Amino acid sequence: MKIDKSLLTGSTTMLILKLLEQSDMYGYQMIEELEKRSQNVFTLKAGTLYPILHTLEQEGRIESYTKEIPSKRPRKYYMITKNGRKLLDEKKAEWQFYATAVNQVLGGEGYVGV
Amino acid sequence: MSECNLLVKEFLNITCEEIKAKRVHKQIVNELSDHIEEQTQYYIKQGFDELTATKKALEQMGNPTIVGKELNKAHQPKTEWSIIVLTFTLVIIGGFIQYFVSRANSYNSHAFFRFLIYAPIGLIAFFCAYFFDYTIIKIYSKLLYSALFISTIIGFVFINRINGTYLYVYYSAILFIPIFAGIVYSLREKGYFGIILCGILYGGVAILCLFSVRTIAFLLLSISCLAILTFAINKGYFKCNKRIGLSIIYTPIFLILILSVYYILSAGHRRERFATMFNPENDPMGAGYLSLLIRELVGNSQPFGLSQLKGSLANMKAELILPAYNTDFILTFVFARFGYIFGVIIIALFIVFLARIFTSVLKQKNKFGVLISFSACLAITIQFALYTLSNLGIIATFSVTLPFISYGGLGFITNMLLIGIVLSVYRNSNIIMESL
Repeated sequence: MKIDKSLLTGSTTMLILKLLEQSDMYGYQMIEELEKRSQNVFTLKAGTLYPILHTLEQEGRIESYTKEIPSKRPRKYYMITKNGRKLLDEKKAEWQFYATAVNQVLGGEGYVGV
Repeated sequence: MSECNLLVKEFLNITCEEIKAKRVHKQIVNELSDHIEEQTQYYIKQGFDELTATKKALEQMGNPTIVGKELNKAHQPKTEWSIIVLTFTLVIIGGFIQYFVSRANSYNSHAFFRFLIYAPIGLIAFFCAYFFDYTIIKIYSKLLYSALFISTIIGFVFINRINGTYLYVYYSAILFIPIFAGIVYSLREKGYFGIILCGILYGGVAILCLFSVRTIAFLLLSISCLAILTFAINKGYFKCNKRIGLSIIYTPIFLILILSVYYILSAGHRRERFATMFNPENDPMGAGYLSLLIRELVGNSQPFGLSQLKGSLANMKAELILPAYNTDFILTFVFARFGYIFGVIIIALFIVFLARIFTSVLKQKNKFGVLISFSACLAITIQFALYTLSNLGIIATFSVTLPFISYGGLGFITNMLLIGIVLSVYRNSNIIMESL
């Protein structure tokens, strides 16, 4: 099923941080991994990803370093910082709160059990 | 160039056109081309020909103008308004005091006029440092070092000693501090050899200070360089064992300290002079006179207005008894003439200012930015600390500049340069990126 892109925008930062929480990654890898894990629901455009990564780096949520790759140009990796983990927790809590609220409305009368 | 490369290049050009900070272009181009390449390879593996694969990869990137605009937002210059406002407040306070000084005593009637001349020059120096690309200090550190070293020596020929000292060497020493940060940076990853070379280059300037009998410049330079080097070794910039690295610099310092203590204690007259520095009462009419006068003026200062002195100095205005009051003892003067509330306000403002500039250093992410703004902060802080302590009669008296406030063109201009560097590093923190 194709989903409306605006649904993704609000949670991209959270998803990126979640990926980096598990291991250091470079940009392309993040998009690939996101597609794989969401079974192709989240197809993030590279042009959306990099501005977010750069902003998160400015804010000190993530850090970058370059890694030499044989016979290629050095690749830029990102890793999460302590500050970034804190933001991820906040975003997760916010998301859960929101999702519960949406479900309650969608579930309607039957859901709340009246 | 193949058609594929042209397409990629065009995409990157359109993106970069939107990004105002030219310095980040190269880095962004590298990162994005890496991405496009990998994406193209993926599509080729899926069975597409190269041209189609490239087109699909670019399509996956999104609209280049929008991408550029978004990246531009992430790399904006930043302005540290609180530091700018505090700096100018201190400058205005300085101007106000110079105005008062030039009206209070006909001997100093030129003070405010001169301030009106050197203050704009200092402002120009500030804006130059602020909008200038501070990384040139990293690229040309050795050239700048040689230039300053040689011009200081040339000064020995053309400028006369005043009371046996070359006063201007103080300003050379201050300018050397950020240059030293550049040198440390350029010798990073050079191991123990790098540390030793830093020590030798510091030694050269230290000898100039001692030769000029500018002890306070020597002290200022030594503390700053030591702090910069210690910081760099501790952060692992030299890529060597930290303990050995630190002992390379601290062992000779320790030996020199022991030798100087021995030198002072070995002769009676030197011992006495040294003791008087801490106990001015030993020589109330000679070397200790000024310190005692300062203690008298500060100790008897009132919340507002004149200090209430006793004995022969009763009802004397500070400008009639305190020498060099608008250069070396402006804080003592403020305490004695306007009251301690004004004095404490100036000191408090300065402490807030120093806290702000050090906070701006901590926010830095790139190695050179940290090092150079840290060095400039150190130079300002040590001057302030020495000046304040001697002006309150806590330590011996000597000729230092109170940044932004005390009278004197060269001191004002060099300190405006320093704060310009600190703010320039902050301004570029999202633009000059080099991860740790």
